Amino acid sequence: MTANGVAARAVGAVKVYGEGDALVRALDGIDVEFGSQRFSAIMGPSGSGKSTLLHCLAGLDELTDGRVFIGDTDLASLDDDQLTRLRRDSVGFVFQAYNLVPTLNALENITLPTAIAGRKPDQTWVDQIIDTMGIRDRLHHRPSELSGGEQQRVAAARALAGRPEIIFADEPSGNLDSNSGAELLGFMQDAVRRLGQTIVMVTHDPAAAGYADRVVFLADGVVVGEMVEPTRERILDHIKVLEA
Amino acid sequence: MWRATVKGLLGHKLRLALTALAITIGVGFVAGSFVFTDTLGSVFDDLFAGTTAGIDVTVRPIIETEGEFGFSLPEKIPASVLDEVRAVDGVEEATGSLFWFVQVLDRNGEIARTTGPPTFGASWADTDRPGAFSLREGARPTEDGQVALDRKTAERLGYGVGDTVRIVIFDGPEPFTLVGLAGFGEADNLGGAGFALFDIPTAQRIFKAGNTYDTIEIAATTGVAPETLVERLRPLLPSGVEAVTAQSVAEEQATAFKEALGFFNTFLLVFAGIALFVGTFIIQNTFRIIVAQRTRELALFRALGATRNQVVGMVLTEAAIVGVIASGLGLIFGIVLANVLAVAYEAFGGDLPEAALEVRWRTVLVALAVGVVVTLVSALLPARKAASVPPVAAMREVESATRRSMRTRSVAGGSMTLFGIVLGVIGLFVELPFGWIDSIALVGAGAAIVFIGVAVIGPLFTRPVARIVGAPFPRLLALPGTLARENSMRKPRRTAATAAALMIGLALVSLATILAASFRGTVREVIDETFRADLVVSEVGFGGIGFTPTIADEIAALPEVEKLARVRFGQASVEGDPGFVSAVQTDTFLDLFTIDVITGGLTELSSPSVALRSARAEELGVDVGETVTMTFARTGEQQLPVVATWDGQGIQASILISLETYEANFVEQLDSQVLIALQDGVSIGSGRVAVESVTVPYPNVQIQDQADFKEQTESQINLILSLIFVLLLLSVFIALLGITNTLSLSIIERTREIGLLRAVGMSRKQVRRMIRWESVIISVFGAVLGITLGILFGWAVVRALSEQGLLFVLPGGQLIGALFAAGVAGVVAAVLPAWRASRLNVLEAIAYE
Ligand SMILES: Nc1ncnc2c1ncn2[C@@H]1O[C@H](COP(=O)(O)OP(=O)(O)OP(=O)(O)O)[C@@H](O)[C@H]1O
Ligand SMILES: [Mg+2]
Repeated sequence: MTANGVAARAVGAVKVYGEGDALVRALDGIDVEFGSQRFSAIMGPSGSGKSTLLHCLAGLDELTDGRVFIGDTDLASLDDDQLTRLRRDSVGFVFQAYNLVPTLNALENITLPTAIAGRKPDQTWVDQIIDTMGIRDRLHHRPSELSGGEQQRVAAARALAGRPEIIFADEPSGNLDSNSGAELLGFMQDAVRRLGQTIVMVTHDPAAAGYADRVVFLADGVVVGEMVEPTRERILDHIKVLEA
Repeated sequence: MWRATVKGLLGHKLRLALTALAITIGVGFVAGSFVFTDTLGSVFDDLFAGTTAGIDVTVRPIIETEGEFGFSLPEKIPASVLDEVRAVDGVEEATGSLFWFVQVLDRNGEIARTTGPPTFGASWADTDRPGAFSLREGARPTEDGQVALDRKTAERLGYGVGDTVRIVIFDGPEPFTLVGLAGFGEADNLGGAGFALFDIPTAQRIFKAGNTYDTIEIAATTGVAPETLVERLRPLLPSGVEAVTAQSVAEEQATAFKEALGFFNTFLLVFAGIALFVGTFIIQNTFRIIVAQRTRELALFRALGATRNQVVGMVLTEAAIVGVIASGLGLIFGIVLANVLAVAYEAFGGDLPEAALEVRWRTVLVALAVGVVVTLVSALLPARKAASVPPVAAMREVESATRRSMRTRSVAGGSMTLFGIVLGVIGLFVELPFGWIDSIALVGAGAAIVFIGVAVIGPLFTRPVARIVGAPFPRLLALPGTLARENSMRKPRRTAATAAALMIGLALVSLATILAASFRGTVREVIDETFRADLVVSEVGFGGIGFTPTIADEIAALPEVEKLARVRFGQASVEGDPGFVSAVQTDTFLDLFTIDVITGGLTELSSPSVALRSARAEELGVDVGETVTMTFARTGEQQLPVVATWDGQGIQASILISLETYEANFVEQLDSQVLIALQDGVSIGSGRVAVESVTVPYPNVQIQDQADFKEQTESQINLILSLIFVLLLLSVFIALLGITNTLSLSIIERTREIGLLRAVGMSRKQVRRMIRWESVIISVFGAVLGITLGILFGWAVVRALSEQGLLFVLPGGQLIGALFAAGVAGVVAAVLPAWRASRLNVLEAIAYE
């Protein structure tokens, strides 16, 4: 995969929930690409379809119409087993909350996808991530013994550990105070810049989006704009323009 | 509050349905056994009342030696008594009748029935009065060479009117022409027992009764009350003969049948009780989990002003509704079950005269009460726990774990276990003044308390056992194995409570297995030690009738036979206490059979005397040289000296007498066993052939060697064991429902976690595997506890019976098999929950609140 390749792509993506009066077009024909080895952010008002887009890109949900690709793979062509394998081997996740399996310690959580696959993790790589995330002294703690920020860093480490082609994160810093949030985002940025990972992150927070290389703006299920090399201030300005 | 309760109920229908099933099954067994035994009971009432219709008074010998079988018949009533009775004022009609056991041969010349109820032979008086027997087809036997059979037996053997039927009475088979088919009152036979009817002279001839009768049936002249007639007859009757009203005879007979049924009822109720007991564990666990899952909701109720009592009321109301519905279904299930039992009863040869099943109000009330009470009692602790949820829990993210310390738990559970053990030990080893029924009840209660006690301390074992059982999982099953093990240790109390239900079933299964193995082992040992005959000739099937002594005479004359010993069997009282008597041929018996003579010697037995089992002698407080009072049905009280005390297995009776003494005191002179020693150099095989040449005309006897004997007893033990197994499997099944239920509930709690695992790439198969092996850990945990308890129980019971010579045998292979089966059962119990877990919608599972 080259630096300029496309890691994930949606083509005419439509997602409809419910029917009749209760019909919601959560995605209303989205065309978007996320470059490989880039840190992309998706922003938009609540209910604009950010999470829905992320779920569909990650193979957790199916589109009503249109297509999504991870790399060159059309997700619609995969059955449940193949999708599961794709999630396990090619995709990483960081959620807003409840990211870790409570019965496993931090290290076991980090190596969870490789363990599910029945493989040995790449030890030097995992060590590198653990050090980058600064959680070495927490490895043998269970999630209940970790702070929220530490939990999210472990979750991020897990997402990175299997060297997936792409990592999806849905408001990973949503539950963290600004310090821990900034730390986590800094690590994610590092993971892209230094370790060459690809991350797509949904966020509400312009400051969080400021860590990304590029921001895509959604509203009412369609892409309404994008910004390269964003900063918090530019994003705030842009949102004002959009709302105006 | 009511609406909230109903909403709560509807909110977890499936979980409660599984819970209710446990109640339904238990209640079903309670109701089923009541309905079936009530039905049979009233059938017998009608039957016996009907059979004495037309008879007012019965004259019969006084039976002093009350026993369960009719071995030792008293002296018969001479025909002269009948003539005298006929002359009494108020006697309209009097007929004599006779009874004995017979064996009807099938078309191949084999004994038609070797197990189950016997076939009776009886006389059928030539009178138009209604009586016990009713003609269904053909005619009554009126002359020698004719017989009538009950319709069931005739149907079963494929005989029709006009066929020749061969019947074995005392001597070899004799051919009779089947002239008619009869019923017993309304029924086609007598509670499964068949009968063959002859005219009176024929009955006297074939029963070797001379000109005597067993009983005399009298119809009173109109206007003469039966009681009056009894008074008038009394002075006429010889000693040992009494007159009783026919009504009381009918009641006696019906009572005797119902007592036998009562045992059956108790048997079924015990298993119903076990099922319900296991059910309480499951119900309690389910309510506990449901309460835990609704902590925030309950706290909200409390925060909004509901009192503790209202919360308790809410949970109990929910339990009551579940209890009522489940018991109602249980009642229906019980009626179905009673139908099944009725069909089985008919399949085993019984006949129910198209009686509708009797569902009494008592049955309905008991069934409902049992179901509701059990459910309420089980829900009591969870309800109290629900009430203790503080209102502030509504605001907290995590559920408040009101952890009772493990210390309190182990003290409480430990002392309960100890108390149960003490009860059990008293029941087993201490002779109680109230009799053995109470001892058994005490042992049962002790066992139940031990179960509860172990269930209370169970959580202490959860982690260690799960760690050991699950030790190979991570390596063998990779990550799903690790998670299965971790999940099983997560809520030690829940895991232990679920396992406890299975523990009970497995403890009882292993107890039964151990007892059976011990009996089997003991029997083998006893046969090896005592059985020194090469061959034994004995009766086929229903024992106690005996066979003609000419068989032994002929065998003794065979050149292959070195010597033989006859054994006869009877009942008599020692010092007023009825019991079994074995009569042996003193000169040869000890060469062919081993018993330990403790004091005195058996050779003196040939003169009128007895030899007592040493325990019996001790009970009676008699020594060799002293005399005891024996009461025989035929000769009444006899003072006999005790010439020896002995000990030994393989003889059921505790009194030995010589053949000579037997001949002097018993009516029938039939052998029940003949022990045979072959000449040196004659193989068992050729000896058997020689003996067979004698026994061929007698299909009612069989020849057995040592191996046959062992096989026979073993197959009897196995039969009983398999019956008990089937009933115990019921409680195991209920316990499995409990595992299914707990897993389903746990999966609901772990929805998000499972969603997360699925999101990061766990396949459906792996999810199923994770749930499945958690289930295996729970069930193996339960099995380990159960089998351990079963071994302890079994050891204690065998110890308690060791005086009877029972040896403890540990059937290791079978117990390991049971452990393995429990694991497999765990897999089965997990099928549904695992499937549901693997189908969880990943998105819903990870959706944020
Ligand atoms: N399972 C569902 N059923 C019905 N409608 C849904 C479902 N999930 C999402 N929606 C609707 O689809 C639209 C998009 O939802 P989505 O969760 O993608 O928004 P979002 O941009 O992630 O919002 P937020 O910032 O609040 O997380 C919303 O209007 C939402 O109500
Ligand atoms: Mg969202």
